[in-house]
Amino acid sequence: MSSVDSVPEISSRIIALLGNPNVGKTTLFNRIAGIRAKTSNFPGTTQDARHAQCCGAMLIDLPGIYSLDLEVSESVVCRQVLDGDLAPAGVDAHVPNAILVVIDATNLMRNMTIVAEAIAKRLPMVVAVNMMDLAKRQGIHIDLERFGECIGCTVVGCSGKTGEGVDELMQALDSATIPDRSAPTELDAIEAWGDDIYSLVAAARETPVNDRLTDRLDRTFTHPLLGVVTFAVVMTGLFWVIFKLAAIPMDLIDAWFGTLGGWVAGLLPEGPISGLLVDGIIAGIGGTVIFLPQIVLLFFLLALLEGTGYLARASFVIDRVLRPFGMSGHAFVPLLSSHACAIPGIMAARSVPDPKDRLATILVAPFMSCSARIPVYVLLTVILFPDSPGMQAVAFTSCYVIGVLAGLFSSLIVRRTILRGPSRPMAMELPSYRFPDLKAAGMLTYDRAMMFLRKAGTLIVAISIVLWWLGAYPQRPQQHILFSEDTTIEQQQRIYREFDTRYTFLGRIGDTVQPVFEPLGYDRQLTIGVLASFAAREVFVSTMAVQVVGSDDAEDDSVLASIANATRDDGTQVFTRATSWSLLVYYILAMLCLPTLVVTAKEAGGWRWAWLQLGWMTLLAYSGALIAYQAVSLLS
Amino acid sequence: MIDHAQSNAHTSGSIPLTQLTRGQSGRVQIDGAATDEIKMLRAMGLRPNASITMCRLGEPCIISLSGACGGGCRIGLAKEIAGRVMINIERQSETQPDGQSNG
Amino acid sequence: MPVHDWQFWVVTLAGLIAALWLIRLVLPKKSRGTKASLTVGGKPVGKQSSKPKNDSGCG
Repeated sequence: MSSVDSVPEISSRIIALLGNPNVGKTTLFNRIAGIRAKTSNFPGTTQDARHAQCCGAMLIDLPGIYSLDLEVSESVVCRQVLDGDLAPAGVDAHVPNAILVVIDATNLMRNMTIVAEAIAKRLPMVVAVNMMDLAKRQGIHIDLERFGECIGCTVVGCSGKTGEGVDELMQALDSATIPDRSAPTELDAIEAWGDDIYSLVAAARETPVNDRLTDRLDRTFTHPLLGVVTFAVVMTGLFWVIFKLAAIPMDLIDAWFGTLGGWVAGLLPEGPISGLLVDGIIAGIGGTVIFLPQIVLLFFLLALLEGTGYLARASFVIDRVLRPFGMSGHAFVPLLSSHACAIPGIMAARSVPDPKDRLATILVAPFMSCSARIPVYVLLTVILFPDSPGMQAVAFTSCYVIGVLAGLFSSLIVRRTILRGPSRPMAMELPSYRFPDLKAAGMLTYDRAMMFLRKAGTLIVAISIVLWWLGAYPQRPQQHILFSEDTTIEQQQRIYREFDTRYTFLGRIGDTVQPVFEPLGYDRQLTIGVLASFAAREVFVSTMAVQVVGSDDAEDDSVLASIANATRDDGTQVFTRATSWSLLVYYILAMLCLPTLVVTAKEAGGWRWAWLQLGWMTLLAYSGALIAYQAVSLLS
Repeated sequence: MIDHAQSNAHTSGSIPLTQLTRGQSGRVQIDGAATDEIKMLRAMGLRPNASITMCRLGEPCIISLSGACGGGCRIGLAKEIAGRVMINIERQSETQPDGQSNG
Repeated sequence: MPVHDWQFWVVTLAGLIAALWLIRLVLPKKSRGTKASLTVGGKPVGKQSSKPKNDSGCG
């Protein structure tokens, strides 16, 4: 219990919102809390905690559950919060001062279980019968007063969508009391009790309307052929929109950070601090923020899709594909999200109910080709097929396909060895088809975007600083090199740059590590590029640019062309066909993202999982790249 | 309650959910141990004597919790789970889609 | 190493702080008593809530 003596500025009154999934609880919460809603974590768990300080209390939106008495993590968290043992990070946990039970007017009977369980908690309570507008349309009538008499507390009808009844609800919460009737606690008795109350207070129309449309849509979306086709179309459309629409803000962000960097460089005298700020910190932040448009778009569109009810059906379609490989249909959204960035994808894996399924999903999520790999894919496919945009597109798409296949394969192995056991079959409520809630989708997207910025951003900045320092020191003492007469100015500058680089810590690490990558066909410069990518994959292109050309303007075509034509120390080409293929395969399969590793460790509950992920992906990447290099060398 | 007693008298023919035909209705029959899976299904609405209608066969199996909820509640089940849910087919004589509501 | 350059010390300090912060992330958590997060064994977390009193049902 929190100290009663402390005088909180903020009210320590806690109101917990409890209810089944799909009853519009979140919509109702959003309507009450508005922009004051924040998302954090329930400490020690992997459940999101939406909460808001409003109306004189801390409102906590508990995860939607069918019953408190189940052993799924959502129910466990709800039990702990109601017992006063758990609260969102930063909130002092104590037994809630009131419970707001949100139930669905169109599905009353089933909701009675959670009502009974809430009554049994003997806390002040109000029941909100949500979706009254929908109930009216379906010809369902509920006697709210009678309902309140039956259970012994206030029952308010409302609609989170239209806002109707919300004021009344808040007033009822202020004067909430412990129910003066009790409810049974044993499952059979609860169900009978619920039936009785339902028969007293609700009246429904005989035949529900619109069922045939729902039936037909369901059958189409889950059809073994049509369902898959629909799915492919929807996904292709989704990705196309994301790539196309995101390109504009991405260019803007890129330009803006470039300008910012130039401005800061002009402001400060030249020197290490300027270098750290511009090439380390600003470049690092810019490199993270530039993926925000894709992430925002993906999550927004996914939230919309989910709001329509389609995603639930699509999950079953995908379940058929994923189950033989040891993941469930619930892994669909996490794996899809990982195509923008594995960090929010791995966090989305929280919605996978079975622990082993979930762990498998987390472990293989980084195989899904994320946005950061795209600059590398583009560079290499252009180098490999300079005159054939068609082949470039095919190669580009193949990279994604290989990533997915590698993920499935890895999941299969993990589920046959360390995470043995069958994949839990899916049982999921299929919400009715409806128009998505734009506001809820927007708020969800905002939450996820902020989370991405905080997690990825902080890590990438830290790594950028360290990498910059390793690449800046020690500085080579000024020495003049005697060049032969026929070396051009450019060649001389290149040689100076090379010596400078090799003198630094990063360069020395590159020299030391390079023999490891020799069988893959990488020279010193490529090795440094790959090492630098550990901070963030897309850094590869700019690192190569700096070594080859002295400029890191990765957008400049001439720079890209120079990279393509780069030469090794011995004069031969860096990007031979064999090396390029090898590099491409390496980038598809390698775990090259430290921020993702950190998130894996957190979400999977231990660093051993992160090391496993790193080890396995490195092994796969190395072998794949090795085979690619040797095979292509042999064939040419 | 009388209705339940009558349908229980015809219980000899309870079949797995997967053997229903499309559009066929029945009542859920739960017996045996309360495993986690059964508790979950019950909490989702597949409780003893809950009236359900088969909407889609196969993988996934889609059923709607008919009556008593305005028909707005559908549940998708993997075939594996559906095979473990037993259903009593009701005789069509008693009109029971909304047997619980009293107008 | 330009030890005479004050800017060098500033950026080195920044680098050290960043490096230490990163290392701290990787090290196993010592003092924080984490409640068991999701484990492979799937054991439930936290104590069971005490069963409420068994009053006669509402009518």
